[in-house]
Amino acid sequence: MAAAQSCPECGSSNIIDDSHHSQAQLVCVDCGSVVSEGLLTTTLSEEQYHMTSHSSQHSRYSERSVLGKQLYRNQNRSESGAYSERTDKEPCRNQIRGLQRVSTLCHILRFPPGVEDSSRSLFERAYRHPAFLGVSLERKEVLAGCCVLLVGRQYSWPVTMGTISSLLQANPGLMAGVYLELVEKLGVEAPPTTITQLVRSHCSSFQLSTASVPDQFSECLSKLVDRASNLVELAGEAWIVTGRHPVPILTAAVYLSWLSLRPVAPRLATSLSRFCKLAGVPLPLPAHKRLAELQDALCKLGKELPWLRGVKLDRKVVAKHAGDILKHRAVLLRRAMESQGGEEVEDSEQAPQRTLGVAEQAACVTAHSGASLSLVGSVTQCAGCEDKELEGAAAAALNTGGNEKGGSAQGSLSSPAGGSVVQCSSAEGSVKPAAMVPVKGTINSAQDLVETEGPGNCGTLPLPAGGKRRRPVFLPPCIVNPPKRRQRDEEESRGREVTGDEEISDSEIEQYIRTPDEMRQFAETQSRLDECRAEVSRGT
Amino acid sequence: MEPDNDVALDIIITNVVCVFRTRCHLNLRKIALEGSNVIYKRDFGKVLMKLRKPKITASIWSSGKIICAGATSEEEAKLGARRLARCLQKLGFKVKFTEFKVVNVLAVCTMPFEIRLPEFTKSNRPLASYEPELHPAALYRIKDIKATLQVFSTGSITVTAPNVQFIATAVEQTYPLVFECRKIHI
Repeated sequence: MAAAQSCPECGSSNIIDDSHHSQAQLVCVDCGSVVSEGLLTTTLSEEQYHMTSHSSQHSRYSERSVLGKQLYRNQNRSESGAYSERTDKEPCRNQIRGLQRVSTLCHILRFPPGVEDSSRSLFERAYRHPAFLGVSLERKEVLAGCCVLLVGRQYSWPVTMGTISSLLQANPGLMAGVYLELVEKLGVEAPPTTITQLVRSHCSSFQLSTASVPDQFSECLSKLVDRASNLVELAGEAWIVTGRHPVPILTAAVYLSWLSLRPVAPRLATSLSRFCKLAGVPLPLPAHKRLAELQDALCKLGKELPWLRGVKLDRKVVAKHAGDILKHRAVLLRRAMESQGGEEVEDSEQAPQRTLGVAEQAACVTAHSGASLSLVGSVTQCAGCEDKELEGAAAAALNTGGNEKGGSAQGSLSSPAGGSVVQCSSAEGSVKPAAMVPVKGTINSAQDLVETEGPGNCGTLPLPAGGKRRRPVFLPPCIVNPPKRRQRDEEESRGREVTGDEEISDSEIEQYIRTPDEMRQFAETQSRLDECRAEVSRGT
Repeated sequence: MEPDNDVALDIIITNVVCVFRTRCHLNLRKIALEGSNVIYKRDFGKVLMKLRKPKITASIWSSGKIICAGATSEEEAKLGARRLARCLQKLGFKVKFTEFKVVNVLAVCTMPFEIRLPEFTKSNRPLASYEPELHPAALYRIKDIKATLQVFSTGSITVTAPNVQFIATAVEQTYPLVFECRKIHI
């Protein structure tokens, strides 16, 4: 199509080639009239012809058209050149679905709008990260849940990984892997949700209002939350929470709270599984064990209540007294440590000498900051001193009848002392001599540290006269029920030092080689077994 | 004087993994036939052989690569590997004991105090991570010595490193960090 020299309307010769969508037109710049227009191009060759012969900087083709993609494919590319890594590309279908999934999860979990926006932006950022570009669709689906979980934790919203994996019906193991990878690759920090944060949300999932259950079973949410929070705190001190999944503990705590708030006969006759059915909540399998542990912990403390002395306290009746026990748990713990905790250990003067002996024989490692073992010993003994000071005030409050709150105003419960861990280490057996070889260099320095710092440390911290350390009431389960360990031949290993280059005699090796008779018998048995298998497979 | 276990800080090596090559092809069927204490895993293409002294388990591939696990010291691992090579020699293979290397050492260390894991994780990010829903211990990685530590709230620490020296270094570096976050009893 030849370009017109002049415009028929105004006579101007300023004619430019301007395309209107895919239609090439000659337009007068002065008056704007269309001088001529070409056919609507339908073939690539026509478009290319127009492009090459009448190209204009102002002409632009749609990026979705074939020519547009060819023309503009080199623009707005990332450094690697991959289309998938372009930052301004339109979201793909999976990304759109993922964003919808994030929004749905946020609505179900009732996130505020700000949290939902953060989740969406985190998902967009994570989706475009190279670590999540070429992954399977399943991982991308789980990624949405992980972003929601991460942002929920940042805003201290009580949501667990189990909740989100059940909402997505995803494999928990896959979810864990994607979550850890997300945290590592994006460098995002998120504090894990503590069990106390989860108490209220877990309690609210129990349908115990008067509308859904009979009156004798209904319970006020706020009372339930308070009682369950106290139980969870006690569980934390009694080594029930550490290392365990939070949901079964919460279920057991809510059940026990429900029993103790109104310990009437119909409630006491309701088992944990029936309670969960009543409240419309799934029962996790470990909840029975956690319930038993909670009840045992309450029984241990309940024995110290003055009005329960002589009463046989077992798991079935302890729920009736749970309220009193929780009210005075701090004082009860002191008393339990005195009456039920057994041994007393040596006083502070002997402790540094003992640590010296340890440094000589065992592979002790001391930190360069000077935090030596004698320092640890004296901290424990100082704790015993504070024990005595608090106990007098607390015991007086309890003896007035247990109705005052002063006895329980001592703050959080004390934790089991370091003696519990000691037993674990002693159960491990002695140090292998070979293991000491590279660490011996530090032993001399450990001795010097202990000699200079031990007495000094004991001098700075106040200690009672003849300070004693009590055995704690609650011990970690791994110490109460230690796993059975194989008895290795320790005497032999102690007796000779292994260098790795010893001579190996033939007699030691012969035990691992079969005799010709044994080989023949083994071969015959193998062939008979193969025949039997072949017959069976033929028969089927 | 006997060690006082009340304040002892023992590093107990529980497992040493090592590899070596025999520089010859190994007929796994022959090893399964003529060797005792042997399990032939045909699906995986390897043979498991167990020695009594030292108590180690070896995975033997037909290419001649052998991985030994279960020893309680590096020297014991080397002795066990040499015994295994000698055993294969007796079976008729032209075995050479080459490229011996300890690849992994696992040790356990118990602190005389409990540790507050959330505080430990908070003060040592991003090297430390703690997910109670997934695992009861906090994971702490030391990149330069390639050591991974699992810190439990009971005070027990499991250390994995390429050799025993790195294990000792890892425990030395971690002790002040866990000491700051110890549980102080009232």
